[in-house]
Amino acid sequence: MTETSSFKRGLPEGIAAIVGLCIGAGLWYAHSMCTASTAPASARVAASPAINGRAQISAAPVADPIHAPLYAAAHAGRRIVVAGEHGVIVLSDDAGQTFRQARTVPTQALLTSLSFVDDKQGWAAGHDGVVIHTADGGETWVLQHEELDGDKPLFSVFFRDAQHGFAVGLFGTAIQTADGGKNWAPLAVETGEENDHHLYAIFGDATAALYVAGETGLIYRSSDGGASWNTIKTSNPGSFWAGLQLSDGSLLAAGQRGHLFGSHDQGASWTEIPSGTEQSLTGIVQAADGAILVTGLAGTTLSSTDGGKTFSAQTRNDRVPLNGALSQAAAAPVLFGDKGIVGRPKERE
Amino acid sequence: MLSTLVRRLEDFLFGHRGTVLAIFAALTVVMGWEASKLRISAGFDKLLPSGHEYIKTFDDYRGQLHDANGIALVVHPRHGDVWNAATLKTLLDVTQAVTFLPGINRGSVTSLWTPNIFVTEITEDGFKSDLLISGTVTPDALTPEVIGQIRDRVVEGGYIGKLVAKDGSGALIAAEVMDPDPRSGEPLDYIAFGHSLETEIRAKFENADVEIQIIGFAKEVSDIADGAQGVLLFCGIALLLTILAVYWYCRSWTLTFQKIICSMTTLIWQFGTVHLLGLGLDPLAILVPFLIFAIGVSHGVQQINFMVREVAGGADMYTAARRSFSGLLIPGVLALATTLVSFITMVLVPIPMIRELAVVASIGIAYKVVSNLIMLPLAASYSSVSKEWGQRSLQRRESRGDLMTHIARIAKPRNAWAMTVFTLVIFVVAVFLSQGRVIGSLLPGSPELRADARYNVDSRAIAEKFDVGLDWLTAVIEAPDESCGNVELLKLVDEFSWEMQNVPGVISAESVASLTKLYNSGLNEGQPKMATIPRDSHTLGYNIAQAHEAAAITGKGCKWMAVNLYLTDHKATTIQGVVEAVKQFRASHAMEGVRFRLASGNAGVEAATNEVLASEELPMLLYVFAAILLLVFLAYRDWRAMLACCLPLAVATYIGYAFMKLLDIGLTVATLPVMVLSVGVGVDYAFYIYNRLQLHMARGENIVDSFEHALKETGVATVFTALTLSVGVATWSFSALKFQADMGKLLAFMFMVNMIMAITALPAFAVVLERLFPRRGPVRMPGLAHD
Repeated sequence: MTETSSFKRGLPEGIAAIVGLCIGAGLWYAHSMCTASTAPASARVAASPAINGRAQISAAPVADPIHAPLYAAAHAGRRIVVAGEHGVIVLSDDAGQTFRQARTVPTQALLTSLSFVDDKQGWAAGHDGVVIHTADGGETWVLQHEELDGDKPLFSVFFRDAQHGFAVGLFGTAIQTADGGKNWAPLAVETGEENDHHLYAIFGDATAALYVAGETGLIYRSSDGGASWNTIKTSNPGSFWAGLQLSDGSLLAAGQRGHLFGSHDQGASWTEIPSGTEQSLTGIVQAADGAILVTGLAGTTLSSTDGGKTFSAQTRNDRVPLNGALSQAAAAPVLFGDKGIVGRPKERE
Repeated sequence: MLSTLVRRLEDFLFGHRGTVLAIFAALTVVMGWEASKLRISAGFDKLLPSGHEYIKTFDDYRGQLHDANGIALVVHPRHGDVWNAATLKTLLDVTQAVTFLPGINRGSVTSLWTPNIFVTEITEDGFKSDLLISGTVTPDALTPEVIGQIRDRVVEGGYIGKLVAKDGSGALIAAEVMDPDPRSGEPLDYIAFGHSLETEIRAKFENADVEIQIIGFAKEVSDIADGAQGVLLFCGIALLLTILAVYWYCRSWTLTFQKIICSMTTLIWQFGTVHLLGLGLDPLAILVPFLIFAIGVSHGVQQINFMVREVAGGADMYTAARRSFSGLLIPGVLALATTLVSFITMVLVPIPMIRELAVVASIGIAYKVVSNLIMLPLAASYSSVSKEWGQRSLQRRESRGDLMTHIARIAKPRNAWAMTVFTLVIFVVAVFLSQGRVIGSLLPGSPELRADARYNVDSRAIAEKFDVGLDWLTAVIEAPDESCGNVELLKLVDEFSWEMQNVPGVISAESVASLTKLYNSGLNEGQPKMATIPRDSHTLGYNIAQAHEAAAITGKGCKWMAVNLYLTDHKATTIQGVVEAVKQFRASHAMEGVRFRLASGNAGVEAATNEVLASEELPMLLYVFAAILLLVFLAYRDWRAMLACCLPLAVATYIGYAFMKLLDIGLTVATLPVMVLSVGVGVDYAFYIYNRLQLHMARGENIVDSFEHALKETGVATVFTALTLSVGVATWSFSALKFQADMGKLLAFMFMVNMIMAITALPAFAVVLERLFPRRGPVRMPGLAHD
């Protein structure tokens, strides 16, 4: 029939082509809208500054900071401050009900220890010889000390007042300051040939004496503000990881494999207290009402209501490793560990 | 020219109709023999988009990462916990039964009872390692005291959440599956293996007191294959419904069975060819044969329709069949060609499964041309029907056509305008509603199975009680050889793990960095405060050497390090967020000689699949539409036809998308083909209607009258076909397989929508276009069409 005539109608064909293209473009647009809306909310990844810009490195906001591994806690007045891995520091102003992350923390090192002298002034220490300081109760921090050459972790920091502080760590590392941390000087806790024991905890009080708990059952004591130290060998075959001077002046030290020791003579002599556990013990706290709580690995807690004479051991069902506790009252501790904050005070009724 | 060709072909075929049919019969016997050997086969690799960045990573590290082809069984007492003698004894029995199951790598079996589970204690003097359950403990000696000791050692050894449920409610047995068999080299028969888990383990040990939960790729594949068997039932039901419907339509058993047999013949040829090509029938592709059958029915009805018209007009069956042959050859070939093209476009999707499906479907369609357009008229020419039958049929059609008279009013200009506007509104609404369509799957566990399938119930239970990540994405960090002492590199891996851990959807990150930290703590009295990457490169190298023992996390010399990111789920948005985060990190943390590669793990594979599906879908549809436009143009040489045929299809497609969104049917390897296929099938309706329209218009009728006639003549057949097919496919909604149910729902819906569009939107568009752009010349007679 009219097979050829149809080809003469150039105009409609042109229109068809254009309309066809329009349909195509329309489909494309509609489709791209579909796919665009399925794109995820952009993931929260903090852009980290360059490796060499050391001073700029700071802990990034974390989606769920209270579940980061946490290693240390302290009171800054009524506020609770907890510190842990990657420079995570969380604060609570409601006795541990809710936490928020500190605004600026100038390090990504694992923080191991906290010490506050009042509701504003505080210090945190950690790996890479890091010591950071806050003057606003933990909201913002500045870097005071850092050592990136080799493994120089600090395990414990203790400030007697806003000027005088100490920190101890791996292989006998110890430092001190007399100007609130502006300048740090080496401190020789251990002298003699064997002077490289790990030092895990420094504790004591402002007036009487300072104590350092260390490897292989060693305790060090200084009664002159850290100028000189003497070494006390306890019968503990393993390491002490934590120590505390109780409200009555007596001392407790706890560590590897459930060993718990007490001293009533300013550390001159130590006797073992049955702990009822073989789990390593990581922290000791005393509440205002005098009750004592010791935390340990595998969900272990020890409690004493007789001033540390006897302890009873419990094991949490979830067996999470506990790195420490903080408590105002024995019944309501904040518990934290490798899985973050795992125990909180019950709401006041 | 074309008409001469058709007439010569007609003369030749009908002249030798006996011989031709005999050849077809012989072919059917041969193919039937081949087809009988066809088996259902399922393959994992076929689902992977080959050549994709992530899949290359997956392939490069296959068997080295945490992608082991493993199974996990949980002995779960229905009351209480596992800490009693009876449950522990059952655990031992199941452990032994699993160990001796063919296909299991015996050395890889781990449970509380296996001799490869140690408890390492850190003492004052160093490490101390003992069997978790000492060899001296026998099942009969399980006193409460012994059980208490075992329980403590499970905690010490860190096996809570690994071998024992976090709440103590179950104990786990893990084992690797060997594929292929290392001795015979034979690939593992997953279906048989899955059945042996049912018969040898679950049937023997599950009772009123104990539940046995089983998960793992092998079990999943086997369950899917079992579910796929059920589809035969649905195909049977669909077949029966179709037979009844066809009879109701034509009231002649002879014609009904001729048609069904012709449709079945294609299937036999198709199955035979598939087997000859060395392929198996995949559960995912099981829709194809039915679809081909459906297309066959749809074309067959048009043939019957044509013959009825002829017979009623006084022709004998032989003449009617001849006219039907030559009358429907062009529109039939055109429609099938369009379908074929739309199927073939799927070859462009770089997922072997979809390619295979495209090939299988294309073969079927090609055979359809022979069986439906040649074989059916030839076979029908032998049958004898009376003129009365023809007239009765025509009357029936006329009475059924009343509905069409109503519908044909759409062609009246005022209504056409209203309908066009209405359709465009629907289009906009559909586009709007289809926003945020799901890509991939939403439900936990196996997306192929239903949420309440035993496998998925078990998956959820195990994922909840154990630290088993069902969904994970592995990023591989490649570095120069001998990098184990590179502190900066390990710090980077640590940094990466830390940042990824804080991406929404990531539960935890496991890497050589996290293990190094663990070992560093372990080597330092177990002191938690030592859980860091050592800055001393010797210490670091030593720690990594320890970590290396834990396989699947780093290669020799730290040439590669895996970071396993365990995810909350495998929703496309979750995975995409993680993938974006990884890309962002690798862009901002470039390090000399270090390469971050995405991504292995089930989520990595899924990410690749989702990306491919999302990016291929639109181009594919555009190709299909382009092909249709081209074919319509070739057939009608009229741009109005191009628009009138394609617009309704486009609208229908978007209505389909909105339907997917509303029913949470995700875009997957299973549903992508459905959308493409439905365009291919939908265009059939348009062709048959438009063909009649052209015919009437060529005779000088105005477009409104032409439409009324066209709808009366083929509208009923179209509605009938769509209804029959929809009902048939809708039965799939009851399939045990989620993807089949989704495909069934979607396909049934698309059949209906395309049909409705073809009888409403198509006439409206055609009329509106005719009004806007009146024809200047006479209407061409479409290809060849008898009255």
